[in-house]
Amino acid sequence: MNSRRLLAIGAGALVAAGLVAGCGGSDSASADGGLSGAITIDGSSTVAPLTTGAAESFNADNKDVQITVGTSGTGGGFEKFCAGSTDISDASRGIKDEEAAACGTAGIKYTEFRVASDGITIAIKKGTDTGKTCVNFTELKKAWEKGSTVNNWKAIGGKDLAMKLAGPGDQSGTYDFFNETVLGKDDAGEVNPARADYAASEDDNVIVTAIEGSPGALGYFGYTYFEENADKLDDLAVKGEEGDCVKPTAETITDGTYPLSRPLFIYVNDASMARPEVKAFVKYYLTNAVSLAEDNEFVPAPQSALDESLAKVPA
Amino acid sequence: MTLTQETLGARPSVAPFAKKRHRPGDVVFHAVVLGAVIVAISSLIWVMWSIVKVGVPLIDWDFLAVNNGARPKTAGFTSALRGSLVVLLITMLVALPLGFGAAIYLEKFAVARQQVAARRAVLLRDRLANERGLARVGTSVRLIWARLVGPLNRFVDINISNLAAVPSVIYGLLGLAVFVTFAGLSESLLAGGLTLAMLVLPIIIISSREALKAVPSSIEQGALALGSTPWQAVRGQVVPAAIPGMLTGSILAMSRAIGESAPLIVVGGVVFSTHIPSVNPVNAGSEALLAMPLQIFFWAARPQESFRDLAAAGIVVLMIVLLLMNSVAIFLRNRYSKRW
Repeated sequence: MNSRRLLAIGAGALVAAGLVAGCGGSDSASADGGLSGAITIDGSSTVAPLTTGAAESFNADNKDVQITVGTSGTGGGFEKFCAGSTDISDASRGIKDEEAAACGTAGIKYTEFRVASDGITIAIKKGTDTGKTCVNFTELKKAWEKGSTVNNWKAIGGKDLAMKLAGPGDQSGTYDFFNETVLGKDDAGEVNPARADYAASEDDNVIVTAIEGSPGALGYFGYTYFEENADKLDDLAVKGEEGDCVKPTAETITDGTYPLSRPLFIYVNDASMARPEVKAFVKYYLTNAVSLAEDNEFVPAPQSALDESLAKVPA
Repeated sequence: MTLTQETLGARPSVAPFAKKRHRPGDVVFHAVVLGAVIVAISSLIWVMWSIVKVGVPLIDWDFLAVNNGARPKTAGFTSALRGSLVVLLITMLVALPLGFGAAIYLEKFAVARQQVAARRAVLLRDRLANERGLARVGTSVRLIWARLVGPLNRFVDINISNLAAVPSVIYGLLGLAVFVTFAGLSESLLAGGLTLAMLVLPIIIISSREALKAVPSSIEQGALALGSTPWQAVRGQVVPAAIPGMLTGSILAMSRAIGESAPLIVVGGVVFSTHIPSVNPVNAGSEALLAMPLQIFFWAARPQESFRDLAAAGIVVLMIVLLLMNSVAIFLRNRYSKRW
C-alpha cells in the first residue's frame, strides 16, 4: 500500500534527521580565557565586518563567549539597542537626538567608543575629464541639494559635460552623514534633505557600477569601495568650508584633514559593560583596533582617539 | 509561473490551428510569445552561468565545514547552511501537520458541515414556531449558528487565499511580534522557523486542497457505500491518493521558505556568530538566527571582490539545496501519482 510505504519513508527521514542532529550537538570546547556568556551586537553594515573580525580573533582565545553580529543598519541597530535587546550597537554615525531620547526613556545608559574611520569619497569614472579635480562644499551642495536642477558639470565650474548623480538611499548612514556635513541644517536645526532624482541604492557596489558605466557620473560612498575599485574610478579632491583641496587617503582620513572623513563607532550598553565578557571584548577591540582595521581593510582611527576610547572602559 | 503559460501557446496542439489562418495578429502574437520565452530563458542562463563560473571553484569541503569569518580566504558557509537546515526542519514540522490538517478539514469536512447546517437550519426554523420559553432561546441560538457556518467557511477560505499573497516581510513583523516579543523565544532559529512556517502555511493549505480536490469523488463514495465513516473514507482512501500532490506542493513551499531573507532580517537574523549552530532542532531556541540568504546578502554588499565571489559560492550551495528539494518533489510525484 502506498501510504504505508510513504510512512516508512517518512519514519526513515525522521530517524536520519535524528542521527544527524545527535552528531551536531557536540562542539563544546573547554574554556581557555575563563570567560563565558553571550554578546549580541547589531547595527551598521559598514562597521559589521570590523566587529566580525574583532569577534573572530577574540573568540580564538575565549571559546566560551558566543558573539553574534547582525546588520540591521545604524538606525535599526539603535532601535534594538535602546529596547535593550543588544549589548553593543555598531554605528557609522553618532547617535541622533531622538535615538538618544528613546534610550533615555527606556533607561538604557550607554558609552560611545570610536573604533575606526571612513572617508566619503567623491568619485567619477576613471579618465573622465570633467574640468574639475577638486570640488568644494558649495559646489557639492549646489548639485545635491533638494530642488537642484544641476545636470551639467558647467554649473559647478567644470566642462560642458552631462552630469548624472548616483548615491546611497535614505536608509543609509552614509546618506545622513553626507547631508549633514555638506548640505547643512536649516534654521530649525533639521538636516537639509538631498534631491530625490538621482540613482539611489543602499548597496554601495551598485553605486560603483553606476558611476563606472557612465562618463560624467558623480557619486559618493565609503572609502573602501573606492579603494577596491581604484582601477575603474577616479576620486575628486574635496575642499571643506576652510582649508585646502584634500584627496582621500588612509592618512588624510585618519587624521581628519580630509573634509568628508567620519568616525565609526560602537555603542556599548553600560549595564552590559558590567559583565566581564563584554568588558574584555570591548577592551580587546579597542586595543587591537589599528591592526584589526588593517586586516579588514578599514581606515584606522587615530591612536589618540583610541586611547581616549580605552580610557572610557571602566577598570 | 508565467513561463508555462507562455510556452503553452507554442505547443504543437495549438500551433497548427494558428498556421491554417495566417492572420497577422497570430504571427505577431507568436513572435511576442517566443521573444518573451527567449528573454526569460537567456537571462536565466546568463545569471546562472555568471554565478556558477565564479562560485563553483570556491566550493570545497572547508567552505561547507568552516565558520564564516572576517577573512575571505578562510570564511566558510557552515553556520548559514546549518541554520537554514534547522529553520527548514522546524518549518516543516510545524507547517506540514497544520497545513495538511487544515486542508483536509476545509476540503472534506467543512463543506459537508455547511450542507448539514443548511438542512438543520430549515428544521430548526420550523421547530422555532412551536417552541416556547427557554427552549425557544436555545433553538434560536442553534439556528443563528447554523446560518453562520456557511459564511464563516467562506470567510476562512478568502482569508487563506489573501494570506498567501501577503508580502513576506509582513510575516517577519508578525513573527517578531508573536514569537520574539510575545512568546519570548528570542531572536533564534526557532523563532525564524516558526515565522517561515506561518509564511508557507497558506501555500501548503491551498496546494493540498487542490490535490484533495483532484481525487475523484467516486473513490470516496465507494468507501462510504461499503460502510466506512467519512473519516475512514478520507483517511484510508482520499488522503493516500492525494498525498503525492500534497507533498509536491509542500516541498515547493519549503523551497520558497529557504530562499526568504526579508522576514528573517525583521525577526532578527544575524550574519555572524562565533558559535556554529547545532543542527539538533531541540536546541533551536537558543541558537542565533543564521541563514543562507542573510549570509549571501552580507557578502554581496562587501566592497572586496573576494567576498562577492564567496557570495556566488553561497548562491550555488543554496541552489543545490533548492534543486535537491525540487527533485524530491518531482520524484514523489512521478513515483506515487495515479491516473484515473
